[in-house]
Amino acid sequence: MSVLEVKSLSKAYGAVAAVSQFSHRFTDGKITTVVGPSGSGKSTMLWMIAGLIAPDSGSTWLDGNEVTRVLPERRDLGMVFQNYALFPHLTVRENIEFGLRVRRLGAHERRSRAEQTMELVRISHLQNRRINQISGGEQQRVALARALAIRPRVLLMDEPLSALDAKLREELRSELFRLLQQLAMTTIYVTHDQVEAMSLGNELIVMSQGKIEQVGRPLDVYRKPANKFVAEFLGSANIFEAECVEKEGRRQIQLPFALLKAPSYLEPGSCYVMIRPEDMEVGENGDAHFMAAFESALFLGNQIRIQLRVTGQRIILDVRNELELKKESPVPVSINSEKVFVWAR
Amino acid sequence: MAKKRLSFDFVFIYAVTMLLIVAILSPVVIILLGSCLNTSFLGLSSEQWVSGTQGIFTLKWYAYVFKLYGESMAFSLKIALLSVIICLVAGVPGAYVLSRKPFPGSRILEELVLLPLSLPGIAMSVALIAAYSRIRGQWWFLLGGHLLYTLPFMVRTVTNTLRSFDVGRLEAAAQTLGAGFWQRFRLVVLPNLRHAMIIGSLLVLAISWGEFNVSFLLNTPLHQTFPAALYGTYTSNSFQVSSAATAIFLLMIIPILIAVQWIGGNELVSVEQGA
Repeated sequence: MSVLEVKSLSKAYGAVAAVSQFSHRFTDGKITTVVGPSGSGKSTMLWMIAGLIAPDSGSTWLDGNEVTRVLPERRDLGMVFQNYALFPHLTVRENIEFGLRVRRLGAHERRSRAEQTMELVRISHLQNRRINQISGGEQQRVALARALAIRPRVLLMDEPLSALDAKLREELRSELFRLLQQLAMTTIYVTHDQVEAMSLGNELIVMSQGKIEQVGRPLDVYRKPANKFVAEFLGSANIFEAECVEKEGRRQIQLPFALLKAPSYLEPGSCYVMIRPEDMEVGENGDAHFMAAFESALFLGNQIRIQLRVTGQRIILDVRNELELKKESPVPVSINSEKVFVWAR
Repeated sequence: MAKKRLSFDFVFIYAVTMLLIVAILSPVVIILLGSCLNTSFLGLSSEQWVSGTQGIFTLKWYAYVFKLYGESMAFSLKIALLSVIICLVAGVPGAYVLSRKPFPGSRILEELVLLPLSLPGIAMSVALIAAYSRIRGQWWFLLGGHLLYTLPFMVRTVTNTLRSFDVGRLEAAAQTLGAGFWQRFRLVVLPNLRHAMIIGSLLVLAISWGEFNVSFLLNTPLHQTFPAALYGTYTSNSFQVSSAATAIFLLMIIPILIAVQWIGGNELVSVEQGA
């Protein structure tokens, strides 16, 4: 296990800042997922940690030693690339042994380590195949095995599942989850897929435009997003502009269509209110409810996402029952004050 | 059952194709025949060293050509093989630098390397003689001329391959696995260039072997390449001897061209699968 820390890493391409002032101490033996839209600088950040891109400023520290200027081949970091970057001229086994070969390990040691790693990711039966003879999912495992075989200090993964189709991605995600938890290796996992980011990470970093927007446990980030960007990027969110007001000696949030209890931390003034689609219900059970006009419904399989309109604003909400709704028909919606998240504007 | 009918289009295209093939192949056939037919069989027995042989076919022209031009052939072969070696040693790393580590002006340099291909051979040769008159007559001067014509083929073949797949990413992967620059070049870059290097070498070999312009203008009485000697044969020797010399020339070059075609086809397939 290794401690990896980066301090104010920055990289600009021309006038565009790909990554600016990125600082973080990656938790030892834990998986940190980094998520953000394309162009948010997450991959550039990862390549800088690997040493494959030289930062303009800032520093990288590994186990207390500065490695900012250390060549990638001397960092002992395992990396899994987006399109795997497997060596087409070598077999599966030779790919996995590559890192051991350049380290001049003996044939016996090489063989036993390769076998161990192949067993771990369950590809022993493919060992003599060429890369163009195996499927995308299998290539992904080979890439992981190749990175793990060198027993890296930190495992870096750059969108490892993005080249696969949805079904396979889901399968490999849960397998990867088991494997990474079992390895307990300091891992940085970069993805643009919020589901991957939330489900695989012990810790989650949300990035946009080269900067960290929020760091935290996935559930905390989802429940308490630091700002509008994070709220909208992770999952779906209804976000309203509102006012926090003192009414009858109590702080309340005045929405155009409802009045909610304000959380104790909120000061009076303008604020944003976020309500997740799954946190509203059709009915009149919550501590605030209002009537909205039905606009459309989207069948998602396990649930239905309905779109409503109230005082000129669109609201989405997820329901499980099979609602039969007519266009423009009024729908009662209830909100529970505890499930809303509010931050000052 | 539908009756099969030979359409006019099919017959026409077939006939035209056949005519073209005959037109292309007939000079080759005539040369091959001329190289091995006994002139006494044809009734032309004026040449003194023909007398005494019997039969329709004879290999004596070949024997004569080897005796007469053996040295030229050896010299041509030497120039061709040296061209291959130098093109590999200089062209492959050069192509790597041009496509992987571009520097200011590298695009211009790449075009300059290709420039000799678009210059008439005679202009190039005269320019070479004018520029380096002092070393004219040295055999390696001729080698230099050949390199100007062959290097572009090696560089082009290798840069094309390097640009056809993401070598940069493979190198990055090798680097994170602990491979230094030379290890990456030897264990990742070169093995993936194997096909390109084989094709490039065959092209260089074929071009150097068949190159006439530079060879003709830069040669010296002591160092004559085979194609230049071939010219002499046609101007001063019998048709049979010239035919035999040409046949030898073709017998050497045709297998090379077939090999280029064959490996070239496989190369495309492997690059597609590897990507």
